[in-house]
Amino acid sequence: MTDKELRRMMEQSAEEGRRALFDEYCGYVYAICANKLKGCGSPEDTDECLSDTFAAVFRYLESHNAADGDLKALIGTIAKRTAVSYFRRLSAKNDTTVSMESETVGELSSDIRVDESAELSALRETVLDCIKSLGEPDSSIIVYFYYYGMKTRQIAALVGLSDIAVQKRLSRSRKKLRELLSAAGITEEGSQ
Amino acid sequence: MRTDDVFNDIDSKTADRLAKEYPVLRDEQKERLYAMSKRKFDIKTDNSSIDVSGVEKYRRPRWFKGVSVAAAALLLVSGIGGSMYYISRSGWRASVEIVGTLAETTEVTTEAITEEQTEAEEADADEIAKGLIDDYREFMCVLYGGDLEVDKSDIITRAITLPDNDVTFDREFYRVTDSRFPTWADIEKRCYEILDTELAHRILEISTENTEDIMGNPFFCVTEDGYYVETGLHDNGIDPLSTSEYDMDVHTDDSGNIIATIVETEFREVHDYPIPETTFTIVNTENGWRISDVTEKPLDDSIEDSTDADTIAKGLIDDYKEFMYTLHAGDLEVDKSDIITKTMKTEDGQYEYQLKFYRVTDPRYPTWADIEKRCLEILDNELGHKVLEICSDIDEDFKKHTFVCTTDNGYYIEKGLHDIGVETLKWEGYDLNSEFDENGNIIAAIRHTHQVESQNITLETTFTIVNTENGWRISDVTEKPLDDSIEDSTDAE
Repeated sequence: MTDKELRRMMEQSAEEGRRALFDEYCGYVYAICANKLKGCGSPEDTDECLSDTFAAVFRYLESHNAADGDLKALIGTIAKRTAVSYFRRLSAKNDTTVSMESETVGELSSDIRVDESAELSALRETVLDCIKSLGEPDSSIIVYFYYYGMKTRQIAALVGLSDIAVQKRLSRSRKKLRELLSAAGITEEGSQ
Repeated sequence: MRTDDVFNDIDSKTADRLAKEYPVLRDEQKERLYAMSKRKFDIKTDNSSIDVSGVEKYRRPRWFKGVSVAAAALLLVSGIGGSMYYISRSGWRASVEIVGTLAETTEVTTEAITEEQTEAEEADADEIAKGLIDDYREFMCVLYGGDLEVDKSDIITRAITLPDNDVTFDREFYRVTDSRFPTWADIEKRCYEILDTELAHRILEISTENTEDIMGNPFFCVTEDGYYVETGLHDNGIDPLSTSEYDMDVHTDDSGNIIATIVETEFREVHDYPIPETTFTIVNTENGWRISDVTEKPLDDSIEDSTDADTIAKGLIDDYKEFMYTLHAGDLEVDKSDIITKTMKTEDGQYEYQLKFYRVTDPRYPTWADIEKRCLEILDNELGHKVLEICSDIDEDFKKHTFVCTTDNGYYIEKGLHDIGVETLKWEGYDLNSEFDENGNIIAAIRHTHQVESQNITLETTFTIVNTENGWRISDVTEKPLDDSIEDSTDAE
């Protein structure tokens, strides 16, 4: 559904419009919130963060119904701000450091460095392409683990495997992904 | 740059790709999250409407309503509805710039307050608490309740641009002409007279320009010419504020801080707004006694919990009963003319025997995947998978006993199970007794009676219900006969 269609729907029926907006963007907002809160928040925190985001989006759109512009950009910004606020609060509360230092991410990436000047956006695309080439269910397992910060038990339920099987696949996929990243020019020395 | 960065703080493009290629939210989860979002949105909407028509509708001044101003302010600025009941220093990290700007004010306040501090130290905790709490509530009404005198003909407009994109909107501000607080510095000074430095920073920062926060919406705009309050805030205020009467309970903690909890004595009729119990932590700073923390929680927590436990338990137990009845007690619709036969082996592998299966034609569960889905809507992952595993398809190597057989053509249920069923799953009505345990799980026990071989047997089934990432789910079911002489104890899984 396009932004135009969503806005038109909201004009006709605010409730239906909000629902359609939610359906269209809930996955997107979930990805932003879960990614930011991984390592410091619980799944419930992610849920709270997501619902706060949409409540803020609904409020914003209600009071700025004449405004036009990219809905995805607006929602993305609100999601990021909300997630940052949660992250700060949860980090302070848990006295945790930033998730960059967390063990889960470190396992894969602590020994790989990319050049400072590499285009991060292009790099992200390449990494996602490499992950995709792992094939299912390995690509999903890697994504759920590294991007969404899920525990292997949660992943097991999502992909329909046992916890042990997920752990084994994760370990194998990690090695394979490292090779794929290396082949794509993302090495310890930097991207080439 | 580390590749960590690739996995962290993802950009919009990555988020979009993840959402499309690796979705994680299931329909039921979406429903729940939408309901949460809507509820949070509705709370604000309801309160906005109260603001507009408050005096007539409730026959009381607008500021005669409850709940933390500071928390509500935080809600409005940051858009964090879920944090409504929480405002604490622990969750805050003031930015360097703001700390620097406000340092001067702190120094001024220090000198002005020294004498007062000595007196306050001598006063008793009740008096200190009451004085500060009254000041706090009154000041919050000034700051966020539309209680400032303004000149509505003197309006300035500020364009607010959300960082990282081109969304821009205008905000209007009235010029403040209140003689009690002629300048913004007077507001700051008053704030530091009531709150400790850290909490005051927080309140002041969310009140003025703060591009870090969501929406980037300041409540106040300070210019060389004076200061201005945002028109929406002034006209509608933030709900609910209160200066009504209250009961107070005061004690001193181990660190010598005063902990004062207040509960308003007047019943509140505001839509769905819980009557809060507000706890103030009051510390003895170098400037005298100051409020360092304000925490609010709904007053009727325990009552709500107990009601919820019963509601949650009953809903899940009914679902469980219906589902198990379907699966193991012959309630699935089948086509008895469409039968397949499978050869099984005993557990020791020595003997073979044959089992017959009916084809399932139940429109409620057209495929085995529908059964799996329903199962995981009621049971948590571990128990759900165990239950499904027991029913699972025939293992061609071991030929172990199974209840279900899936084919390309559909799925089949074992004839004996369907025709006879598990007798103890067939119960009508039950007595429910549920409560929360110390881990926040619900322990629900039900009693149901069955007639087996002309004898009435009453069973007690205990459910452990846990709050998972997917919502409340049954994680354990234990069944035992009420008569202790019968020792058989069966795990319902």
